[in-house]
Amino acid sequence: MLNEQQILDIISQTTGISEHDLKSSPKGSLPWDSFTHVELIITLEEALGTHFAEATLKQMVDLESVLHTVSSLSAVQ
Amino acid sequence: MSDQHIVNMQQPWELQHFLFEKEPTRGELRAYRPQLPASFRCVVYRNHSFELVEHTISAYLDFAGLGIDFTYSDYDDSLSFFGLPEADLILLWLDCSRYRGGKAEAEKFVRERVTYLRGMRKESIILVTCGASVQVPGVICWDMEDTSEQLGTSFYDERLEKYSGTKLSAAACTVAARELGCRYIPSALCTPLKGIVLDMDHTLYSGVLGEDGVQGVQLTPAHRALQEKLVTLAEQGFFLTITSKNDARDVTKLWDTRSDFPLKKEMFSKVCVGWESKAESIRQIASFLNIGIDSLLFIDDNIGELINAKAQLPELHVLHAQPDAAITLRALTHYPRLWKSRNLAEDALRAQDAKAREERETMRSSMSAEDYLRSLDVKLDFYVNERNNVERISELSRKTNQFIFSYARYSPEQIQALMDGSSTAIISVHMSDKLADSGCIGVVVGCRHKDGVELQECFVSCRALGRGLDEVIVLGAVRELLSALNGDRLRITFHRGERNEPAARFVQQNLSQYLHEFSCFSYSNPYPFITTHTHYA
Repeated sequence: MLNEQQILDIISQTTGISEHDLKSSPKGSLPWDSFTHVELIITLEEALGTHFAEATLKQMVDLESVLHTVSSLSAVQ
Repeated sequence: MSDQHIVNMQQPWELQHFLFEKEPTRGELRAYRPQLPASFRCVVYRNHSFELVEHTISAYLDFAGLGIDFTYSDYDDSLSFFGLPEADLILLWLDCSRYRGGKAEAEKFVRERVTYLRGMRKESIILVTCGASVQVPGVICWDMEDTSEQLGTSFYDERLEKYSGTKLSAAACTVAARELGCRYIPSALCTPLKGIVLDMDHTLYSGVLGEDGVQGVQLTPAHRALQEKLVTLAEQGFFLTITSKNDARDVTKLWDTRSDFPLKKEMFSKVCVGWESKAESIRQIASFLNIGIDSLLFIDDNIGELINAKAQLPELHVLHAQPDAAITLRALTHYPRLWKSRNLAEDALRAQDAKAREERETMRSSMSAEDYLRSLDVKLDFYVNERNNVERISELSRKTNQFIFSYARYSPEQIQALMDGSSTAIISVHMSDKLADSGCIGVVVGCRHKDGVELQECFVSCRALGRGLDEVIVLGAVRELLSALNGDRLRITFHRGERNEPAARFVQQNLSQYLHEFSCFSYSNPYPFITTHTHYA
């Protein structure tokens, strides 16, 4: 199980964006490009040992929704 | 990315351990920072994205000694090739499932377009397709079928296509990075290695011959697999040699008695056993095979031996043998420049010819030069536009570094065009003697002008040099070239390069009067006992 801080660490490492910049990113859009998004999804899937369903992927539209979705999935692992 | 996550490697064996001890994760490969400056340009022409491959290819390219700058085309299903910039390499990255009309139609369309591209561009071309298999002459083709079989349903990941721009999964892209970085790209940009120098103890088997004895050293299943891979490489034309710090009698006894070993004594072109430095043995091996140190891969389990050899021979390639030979095998299987996109019948002749070399040396030291040549029963065959040997002629032009006049490096298509041209011709020379068939060992390329024939290129395999036959081969081929192009006046083109000193010396001694202007040329073979035949297309 990953807590929110651990997830944030993974996001920061994978995207190369500092935690501070991540937290100040605008809502409704992802502060990284689509290829980095794929790398992030794969990294998170490896960390959680799961594959995100297509519907789950659709929910990940900004930092907050990524954190929320991954935290929720992690909690039920 | 923070600094602690950046992976840096200083030594070749560190990088080898990183890549092959256990399979690195995507994250680890992405964190790797290339050590080499980008000295090659690769244009990726694609109809689906390549970025997920590029993200993980740097470590493999560093392992291959290649720094590459990738630039991208727009996405183009039509394969128009408009605005394709000049590069060292064109990589076509195509998802054939995007084409309507079925697999056969897609294959036909891609084959036609890539054949067109091959005809108009001189760069090396790699074609990587998924969803179809396309072969185009003169193009290095990979259909990813092996990866698809290996990954099964994980080959594609359509969930992520809208973000990644490709149906291929990240796992498939990681495998593609390894295959392209270790095999396909080095095969397109580098000359292949020519030989492997092997340590014995803890490399070819488990144990120490001097301590465990001939029957005590163990052929583990992994060592057996490693030896079988080496047998395959020998069959593909790579020289196998040994440098071992052991008692020579023990070594002889080992190869005479261990019939369970896949490797056999006769597969080794040269065996150096003794207590001298391995760097010195490797020098002797390179000299014996008449190849450069940079064409050799040295495999040893002792890191100290690798460090010493590398310190004295910086251009030597090295591979660190591991106690678990399965790891050594993985690294060897992916060792850049040991993989060939195709194998030619000629390759199989090479090891046999190298073994004959030792016998020739013994003969030469025991008789006069003329008696030596007479006793060899040499036959030379000159072929005018040998159309069924285009691939070998092209390969020889790309592999030869020492005896080459202009470094023209012809593709098979260029060779074919020169053979088909009304004012151009190619003479290829085959040599055999009573000890071995050396196959096609030399080529001259020429063009007819109004004032005479211009010798545009000449290259001779290192295997043929040093037998006292250089003049008969080259000047005989030039004579045939003039005859084929109906000329009697000759001018030659020569460019001094880093390593073509042997060719420069030959030109100075035999052809200097033809360097700047056309001049009458004639030559007759001074050795009546050397049989020559000319074959016309």
